[in-house]
Amino acid sequence: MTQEKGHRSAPFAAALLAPVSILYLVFLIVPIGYFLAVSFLKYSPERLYLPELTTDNYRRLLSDGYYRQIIYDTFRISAIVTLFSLIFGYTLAYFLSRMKSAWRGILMFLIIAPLMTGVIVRTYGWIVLLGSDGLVNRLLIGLGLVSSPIGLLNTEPTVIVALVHIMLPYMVFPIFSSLVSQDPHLVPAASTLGARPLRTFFEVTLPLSRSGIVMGSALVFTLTAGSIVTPELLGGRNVTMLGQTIYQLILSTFNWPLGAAVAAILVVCQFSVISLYFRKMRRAY
Amino acid sequence: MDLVDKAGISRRSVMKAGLALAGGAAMAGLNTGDAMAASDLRIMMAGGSWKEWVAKVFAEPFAKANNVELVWKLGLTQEPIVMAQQRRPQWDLIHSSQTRAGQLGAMGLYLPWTDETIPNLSKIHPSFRYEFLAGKCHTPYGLCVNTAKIKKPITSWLDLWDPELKGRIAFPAWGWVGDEVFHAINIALGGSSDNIEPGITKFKELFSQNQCRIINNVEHTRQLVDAQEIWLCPFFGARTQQAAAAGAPVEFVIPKEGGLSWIWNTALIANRPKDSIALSQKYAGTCLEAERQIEFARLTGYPPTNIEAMKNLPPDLKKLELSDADVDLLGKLQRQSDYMTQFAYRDQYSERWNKEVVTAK
Repeated sequence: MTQEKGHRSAPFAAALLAPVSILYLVFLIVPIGYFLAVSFLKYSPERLYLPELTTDNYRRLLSDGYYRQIIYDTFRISAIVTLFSLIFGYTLAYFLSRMKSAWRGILMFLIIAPLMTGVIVRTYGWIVLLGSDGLVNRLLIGLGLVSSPIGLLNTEPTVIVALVHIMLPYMVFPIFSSLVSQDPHLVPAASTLGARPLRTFFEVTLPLSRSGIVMGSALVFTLTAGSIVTPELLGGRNVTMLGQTIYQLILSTFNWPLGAAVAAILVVCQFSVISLYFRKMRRAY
Repeated sequence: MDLVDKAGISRRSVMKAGLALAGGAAMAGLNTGDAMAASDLRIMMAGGSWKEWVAKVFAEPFAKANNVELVWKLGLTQEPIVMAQQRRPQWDLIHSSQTRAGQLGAMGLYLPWTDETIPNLSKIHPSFRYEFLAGKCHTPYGLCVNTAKIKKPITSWLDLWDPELKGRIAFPAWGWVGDEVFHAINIALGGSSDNIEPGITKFKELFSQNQCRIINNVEHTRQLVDAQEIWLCPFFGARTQQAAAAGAPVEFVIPKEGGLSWIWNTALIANRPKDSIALSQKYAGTCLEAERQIEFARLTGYPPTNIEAMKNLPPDLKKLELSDADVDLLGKLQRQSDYMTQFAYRDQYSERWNKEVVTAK
């Protein structure tokens, strides 16, 4: 009887899934397939690419120290941003999930608020704050910590700080969601059984929030690895990431095959790192 | 189904009729597409204030007068779309400078501007008339100097290499206008479009020894200029004057070796239906009219290119008046550039810039 009901509901489920499947197929799978195909074509200055198969684009990327360094820097910066976002994001999400007052709504709004302004506006905000005559330098000089303005712009730490600020909401909300969905009786139960707060956190709360951690980390890592504006405006010539390289190759140099190969490497690396992370997290708990 | 049977109509005939109807509808649709193209003006350009000004002065009055609809595609660097759609282009016009228009025009992607197809072309100053584009305005480009911080006179591109300005100078990103500015300075240094060694060698010093910074667009430059983060950088004349009007202690200097001047307008994309091309050419003609160019100059701060407009600038725009010597000096370096060579080698040149100059320590 149940099996029969399952059979009957299968077409309904397929019908429900159809629109989103078509959407993904047309706007995700087809474009990815297209640029994967282009990455194996020969570059032509006049025609974008020629219909000649080649692996030269990948060879150029993987054999050239300049591009290898960009790939390494992109994933190193993404990992650092993910780690800091996780530390700050978890703390914030934990604090929010334990709040009972009306302040919770206000704080949630404050976390979302930055998402309501464009990333370019926020990045320009950082330029104002961190410039030679900016608030941070004035504060440092006022406190007597430095005698003249220090160069905060065009450095990797600045890019990391700005990216953590931009990415924080993407980490907070999945973790918050996993924390508030936990059974509220678990913590008192652990306490009744003699567990101290720290042990309860590490053995009950943290393992049960792993889905939020995984989701938040995956989001932050992938978004950071593909970021363009923040490293471009705040990193200057000292920080180059894959997103900027793709942008330049596609829109300025018009070398679509090489740009597509960089994009393919970015997607494959992101996918591999996230898969590995998912697997490790599953094993850890 | 019964009705069909009763009327003595077979399923096959119904299918045939249906197919014929569908075919007819499809053909009608195609025809409608052609007709739609003629009643639409499809323009690609970057957004922002520039688009608003173009729409206000040129596009919207034209659309109203000709009863056509405007369709915009906004975004930076849309030339790859033209290249990708070269067999069946979907857009009529693309906002462009003379450089890109010349490069893509030579590839057969843009239509040439001629006196026969665009009668107003003869009213444009010869310095701003190119094979595939004539300007509706031109944008003088030279050095933006912070006069509060720099006390010595700035006269040359080589002042960027002054060690006293270490860390306070900037150069435009390659993908913005940096490539063209680099090629112009390379020519001033004795190089050419197929010999960029003098430029590469000199710019390595600029980035490694004088700690040159990169500016990515007009807004980014304005931000750094206004905050007095950078004291000397290549920039547009009108934007420098806007910064000065907003209170920044800056002035615009045309370097003695020659500045740059881009002309801007919408290039005519080739291989479009005839009706669409005729409409585009008519629109291009209106962008060359004296009164509209003066109105545009008032909004943008960029000088007109129509000879009559250049001679008869109203009192409030007299500051935009350029002598023949100024016009000559602005275009001096660009006239020596071979744009097709630069275009053909852009991949190698861009890579050398990134590897040898930008990362120079």
